[in-house]
Amino acid sequence: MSSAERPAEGDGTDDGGLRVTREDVAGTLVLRFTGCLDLNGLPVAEREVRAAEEYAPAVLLLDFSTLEFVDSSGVRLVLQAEERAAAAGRRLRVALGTGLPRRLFQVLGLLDRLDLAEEPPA
Amino acid sequence: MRTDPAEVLARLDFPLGITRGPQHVVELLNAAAREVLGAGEVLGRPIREGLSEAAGQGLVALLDEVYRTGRPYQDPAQRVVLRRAGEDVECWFSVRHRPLRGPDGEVLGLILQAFEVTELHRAHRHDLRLAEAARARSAALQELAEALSSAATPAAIGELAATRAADLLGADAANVFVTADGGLEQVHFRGWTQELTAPYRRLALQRGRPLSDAVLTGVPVWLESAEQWRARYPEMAPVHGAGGYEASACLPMRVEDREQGEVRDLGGLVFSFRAPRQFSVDEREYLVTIASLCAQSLDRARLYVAEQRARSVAERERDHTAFLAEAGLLLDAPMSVEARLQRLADLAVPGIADWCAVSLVRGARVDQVAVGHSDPQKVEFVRRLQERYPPDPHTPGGSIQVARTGVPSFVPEISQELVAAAARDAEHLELIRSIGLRSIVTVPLQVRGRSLGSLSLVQAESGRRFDEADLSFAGELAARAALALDNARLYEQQRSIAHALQSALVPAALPEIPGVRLAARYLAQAEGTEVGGDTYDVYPGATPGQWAFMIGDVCGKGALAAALTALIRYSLRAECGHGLAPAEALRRLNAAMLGNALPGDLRFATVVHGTLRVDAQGADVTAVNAGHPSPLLLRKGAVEPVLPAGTLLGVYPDPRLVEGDVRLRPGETMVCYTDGVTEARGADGGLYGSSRLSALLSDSAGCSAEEIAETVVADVVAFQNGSLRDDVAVLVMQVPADRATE
Repeated sequence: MSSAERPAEGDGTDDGGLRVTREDVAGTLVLRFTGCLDLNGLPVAEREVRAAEEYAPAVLLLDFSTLEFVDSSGVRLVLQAEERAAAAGRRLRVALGTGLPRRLFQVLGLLDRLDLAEEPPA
Repeated sequence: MRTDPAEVLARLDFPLGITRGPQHVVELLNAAAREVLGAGEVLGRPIREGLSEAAGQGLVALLDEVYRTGRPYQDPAQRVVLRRAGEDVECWFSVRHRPLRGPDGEVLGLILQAFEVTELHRAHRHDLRLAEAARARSAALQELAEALSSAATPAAIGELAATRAADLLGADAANVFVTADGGLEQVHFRGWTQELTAPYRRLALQRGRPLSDAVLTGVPVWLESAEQWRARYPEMAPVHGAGGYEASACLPMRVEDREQGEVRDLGGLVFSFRAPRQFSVDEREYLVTIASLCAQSLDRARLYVAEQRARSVAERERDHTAFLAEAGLLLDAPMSVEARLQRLADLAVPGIADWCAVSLVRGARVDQVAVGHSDPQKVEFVRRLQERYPPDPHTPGGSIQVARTGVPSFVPEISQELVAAAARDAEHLELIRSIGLRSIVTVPLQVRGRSLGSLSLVQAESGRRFDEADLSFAGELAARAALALDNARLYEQQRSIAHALQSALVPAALPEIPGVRLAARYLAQAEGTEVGGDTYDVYPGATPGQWAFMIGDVCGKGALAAALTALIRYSLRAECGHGLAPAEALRRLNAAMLGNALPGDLRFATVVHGTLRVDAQGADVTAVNAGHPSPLLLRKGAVEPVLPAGTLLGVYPDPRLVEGDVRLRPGETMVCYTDGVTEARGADGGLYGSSRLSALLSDSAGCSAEEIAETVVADVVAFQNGSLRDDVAVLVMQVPADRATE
């Protein structure tokens, strides 16, 4: 299993402290988001997701599990990426971890609507 | 056959003599020598007596020296003053005196030889003089070249050429012309009266005029006398003669650029002389050299001027760019339009212009809103002047006309006539004159085809003048100012639209419901143009005694979010009016949202919607939570979330929407809120969170609905240090504690 990690294009912290890294893990393209994904961070996040989609990965995983904060901007990002993945016959997965991101998606009633990449907490 | 040596010596044609003894007694003196000395018989007498007229010239002392030392003396040009025909005459002799020795080598006497070389010497002296003159000229040329190297302008070069060269040559007049616009332009003259040269300040280059001929052909024209003038240039001769001049040298100033492979004609020099003069070969060469030096210097000056001009253009360009950048920042500053324009006017002076003024179109009027000058007293002066003599709105090219018509006005040089024409009376004229207007450019503040006003830049006391580049710069500056004004106007417009929209998203007042206390709060994220997506509403249901409520949150901000928010609020009102149960109403809303969605613009909303039926002991709530933060029930100091979780709206065709029932008993309160409460973040990034809300509500047990709503909002605002990151909406429904006893 090869794992090469590097900052994705447009990586920066000028957007409310959002940082995105791209990683290829056994055929799954993983975008790992850290920091804060809100309206300020949305443009960077969207650009990164679009850039990742250019590779047309069979599986694209948006890893929100290490986000400190996420609001409806992050939800919208996921739902739109999912819409595009469905249209293109790709698979979009989301990792939410156990903290705030999970609670947010839970409140919105999305846990059973998304392709989650981890077991729900016990 | 024997020849007498004395005889031979006597016949030699150069002076020769023999003396004997320390007194130099003459033993032999040939005829040539006698002729030179012009003396009588000196044979047998000391030579001193024969040289009486040459006494005091040290000649005898020389002979003494040779006799004493035995060393010969020789001088190829000894100067001797002799008296000839009653006059002292300077003569030169090539002399050679040798000792005459006896058999033992002792000096017995002297052999004197003197060969007159006066003629030869004179000729040599002339050569020397010529050489000296040549040396002087060469030094003068060097000096001229040096002086020319530091002369930067054609006028300075012309002056050097005229004065130095004329002095060296003894020319009585000089006239220097440089080529300009296909002709010749006088840059310096001397020895001519103003009247005589005035008609010839500018000359057309045409064959048949001496200087033109020289310049056009590159060959000097030599006119050595008035006669030659009349013969070769009859029509010009009287002009030249009027100055009292006879001879002239007309020299082209021309540079051959081998690198560029071109010949550049730079002008011509005319030197004039009061007396006829034959220009010797040397003089001609000398004059041509002077012209050539001047030509090279002019060429350097030309390049220097071109370079200076290019540099100053580049510098000005750079200054303008820097100014525009600074002006751009200033124009976007959060200040009133008037304050920004005044700052702009202040920024423009005195670097860009001496004065800067801005006028704005305000309905039927055009008001001057900003005036800048580095001296506030002058600004005050002009303000008073305009008070006394209000600007005529019909003045063509005036700031008012330009603001109205959008047509710029550019007066690079303000003439006295123009000033006089603008004045109303003599005093006005005097006052305007005191400003010292030199140059003015007025450009419209134009954006999207509309003129919002005008910007004037004025040069006065600095003496500067605007050119085409300044005009285009002023246009650029005005375009930026106009854009900033337009943005400010649009911003105002948007803010008022946002305000109007926002107020449509929440009810102006909540209804009075007997047996239930309602309270609500809505806080927009910021005083801005973006409309938020939070909403709440309470309204009568389909049947009497039944009420409906909703609280919702649309993702995103702006017009599209606001439109969706309005859709949600009014759809639910309508569905409820048709008697639909909350779950069904939300399903229809979801379908409507999916149907109305714009491609690529995914928007979802979370909503809590329910009905409320009030009875004597309290109220029954039947409600559905579509992906919204769970409403909280405050009951006996405990706080618990209510209603089953559901799915957000606007994304899936089959959202989970499950109705839940809540019984509100006296003293119990249901609090609905948007995530602007729980997702609020403090300065340290910490989350407000549901537990803090629960704790706050728990502490609010016994408070009125109004108090609770206020407490929640105040706490959230305080948590964020007064600056909200998201809209906040709170809706509180409470059955009063005393309800049971009513």
